Amino acid sequence: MSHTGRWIGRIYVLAVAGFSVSPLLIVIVLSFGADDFVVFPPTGFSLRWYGALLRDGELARSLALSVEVAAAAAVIGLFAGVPAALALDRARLPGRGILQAIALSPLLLPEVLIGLALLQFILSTLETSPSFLTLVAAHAVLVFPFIVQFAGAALVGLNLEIEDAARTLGAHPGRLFAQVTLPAIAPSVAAGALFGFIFSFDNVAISLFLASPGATTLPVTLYERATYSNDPSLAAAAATLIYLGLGAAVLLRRFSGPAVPATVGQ
Amino acid sequence: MTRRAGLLLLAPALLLLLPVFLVPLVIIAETSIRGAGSLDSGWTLAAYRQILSSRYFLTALVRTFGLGLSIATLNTVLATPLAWWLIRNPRWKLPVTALVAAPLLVNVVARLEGWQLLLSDSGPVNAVLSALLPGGQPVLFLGSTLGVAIALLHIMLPYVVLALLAAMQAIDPTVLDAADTLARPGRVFWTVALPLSLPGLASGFLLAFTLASASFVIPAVIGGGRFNTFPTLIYQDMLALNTPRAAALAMCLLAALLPLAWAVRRTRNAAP
Repeated sequence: MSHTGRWIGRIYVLAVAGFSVSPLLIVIVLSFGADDFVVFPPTGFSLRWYGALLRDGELARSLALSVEVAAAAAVIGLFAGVPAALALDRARLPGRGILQAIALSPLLLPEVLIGLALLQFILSTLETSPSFLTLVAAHAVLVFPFIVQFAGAALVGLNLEIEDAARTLGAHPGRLFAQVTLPAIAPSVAAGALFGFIFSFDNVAISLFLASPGATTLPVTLYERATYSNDPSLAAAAATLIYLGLGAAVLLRRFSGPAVPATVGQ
Repeated sequence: MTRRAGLLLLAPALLLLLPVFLVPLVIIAETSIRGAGSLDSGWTLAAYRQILSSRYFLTALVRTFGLGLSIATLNTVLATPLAWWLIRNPRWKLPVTALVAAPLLVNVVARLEGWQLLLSDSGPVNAVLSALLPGGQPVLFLGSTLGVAIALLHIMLPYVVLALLAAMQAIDPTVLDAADTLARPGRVFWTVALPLSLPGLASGFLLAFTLASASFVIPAVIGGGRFNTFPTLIYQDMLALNTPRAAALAMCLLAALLPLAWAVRRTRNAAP
């Protein structure tokens, strides 16, 4: 390739990479601003907006709620998802393709549809109002496909001869699962649970539809502030979420190797 | 494993999905054809008729899917040369992929806060523009199609890049080596690499199309209430307690996106 061509390629790649990280960088830079309003460029450096975050009771409450909801959803997702993955992989079920499509569909359908459907079900059929419990149940449905997909992928790659050997040695199905199959798929299942946790923690649309006075998650609180105001404390909160997201990315790389599974949904 | 054991293992999943996902979907479909207000008024297509006969909703429909289509097209055009460059410069693959994929795990509201800061009237983008073109008015990004498109482009880009990279990586390197000895680099790309990575390209394109059209948060935050797509209209109708119309809008969105979602799955399965 010509000299100029090489440079055009480099500049192009640099520009796309810059486009990718620029919104993250600006948040981090402006979160350390010393001004009372968002000013670019900031006139000084300070940690005052991070201090304001620490004193913000509403944010602390919604953060705690987000973690509780995501953790509870991940646990429910595990109990529903691992057996389902096992059944879908091992049992010759009628209509397996359809069952698999249903299992993954919470990630494929528009979030506003799922949120609206759940809200209508809660309000008109159950005749109650959204609560912590309904939020956890909704998020468990979101986590479920991640577990099924990750556990399913690990089951497909499993060496069946090890299970045959265990069976020949007299292990019952329960013991076989607990001592042979589960340990083998555990790393992948853990990665799936972690992805599901992050997906639940980050969800805005469904949490927004199902938000109630006692059950407003952190992304919903920030969403509401972002649509109404633009004070620097929002930049500090967003910057904190960026640190968390990048930390999670590093953690996931450790967990599941270089492959970045395609996560779906915004 | 016996069929009975399999069904037993599916029981917890059914216990979760049936009441929290499948039944609500059936109920929302039924709500969309229920007359507003009373339960005994029977089924009606009034909400659908209202949507399909109104200029306002048809414009929003065109906007929703026009946006999805343009974002998917632009992203594919942006990502293809990038992915190909990374295949040709493997030394840079890991760091550049890390930078492009970095936003994936960052909360979408935080990413949008970044775009709000970058694109505001007094933000850096407008500062650069006014330095280049002194005396001009600041460009109104927030609340406009342009701002929503930039943010959507940014949020969908990693999906398209990763899909294309996966497809290009799956090309047998000896095929590319052989092509390199026979043809100029441009020709290798157009006649060998691009055709072989078409499944990945289609997968990335369809994924970006689906996600962009169904996105609620991005048009809601960057559009600031002045940029309505089907997802934001559904939310507004829900707040206004016009549930039948919200349900009908959601069903229209689903009807348009379901074939796309199905196609995404097919290209995923077809991809090597």
